[in-house]
Amino acid sequence: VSSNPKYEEHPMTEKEAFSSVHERECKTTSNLLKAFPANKLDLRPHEKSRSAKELAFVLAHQESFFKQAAEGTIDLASFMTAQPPASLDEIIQLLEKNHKAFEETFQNTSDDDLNKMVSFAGQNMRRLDVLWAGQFDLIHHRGQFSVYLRMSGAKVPSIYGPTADQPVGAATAA
Amino acid sequence: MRIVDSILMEMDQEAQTTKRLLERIPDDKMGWKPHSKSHSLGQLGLHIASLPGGIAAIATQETVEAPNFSQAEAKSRQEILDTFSKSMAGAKDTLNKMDDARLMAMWSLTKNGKTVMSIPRVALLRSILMNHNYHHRGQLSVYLRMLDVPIPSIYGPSADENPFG
Repeated sequence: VSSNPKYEEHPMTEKEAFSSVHERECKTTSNLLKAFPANKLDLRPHEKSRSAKELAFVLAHQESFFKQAAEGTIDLASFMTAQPPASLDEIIQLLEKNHKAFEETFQNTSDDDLNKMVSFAGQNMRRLDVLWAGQFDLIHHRGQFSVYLRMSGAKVPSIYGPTADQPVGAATAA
Repeated sequence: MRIVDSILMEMDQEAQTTKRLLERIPDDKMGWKPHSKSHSLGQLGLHIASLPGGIAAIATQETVEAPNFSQAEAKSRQEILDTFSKSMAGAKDTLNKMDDARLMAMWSLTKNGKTVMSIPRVALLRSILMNHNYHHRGQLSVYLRMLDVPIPSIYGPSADENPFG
């Protein structure tokens, strides 16, 4: 039973809420990357689709975007042109490294600073709004990756609820 | 601003994107699936469409017994679109009545009567009503791509459409 009486004592700040959501989602992303067969990185469901390797890299690389958003300086051009490493192991390590770096930055950034604006794709947006948008984008791409994972023949772990391989009760959502 | 107001704003914004994808579901491919263990296109489409209303309804309860998670398959795109429209209207109506205290109060999931999860309602909405739907919408975008349907912009450019270009 997971219960968090903290919620009832005081509402979370938005920073705490993001951190809690992000931590949980990042763990799920890591579970999916680790479940993928290392020799199927060339899988591409359609000629216009990203390959499994490119998509896995999107998931790992997004953490570095989160760090930039928290800091208030987004360099979209260099973010978009980064290339994936050779192996799945390296992609998983990259996720861990990027996640740790983001967490350090994020925890050391004040609520006030996180409410400041950052320039993103030609718009001025609140840093936390960019972080939430980036989180939803990541969940969207991880959803895509879950189809690739299924197509690879590997077992699909629980994401928000049961899967064909992991029935209800084996894992709890949220 | 109430907590629910920011939730409703996000739901409205994301629903526009979801609707653009649902509108492109090919009517003659409801049974199609990318893998034998996958949900069919008609199941996935109906799941995405019915989620907002379904989750908002269970959020009004104190305790909910885990469902059996079997998902019906839609017979047509129109059924999916009609379901989504009703589901969104129902969700907004239900959530609009929830004040901050209700959203911060705990909600529990049980399995065979035993509590397996206890979280504030706002966390249920964040995770299962919203994030979980973006996840399945991501899956739908791969299904549509594999069926040669042009993909609209979702959070950024797709291989077919670039709102920033």
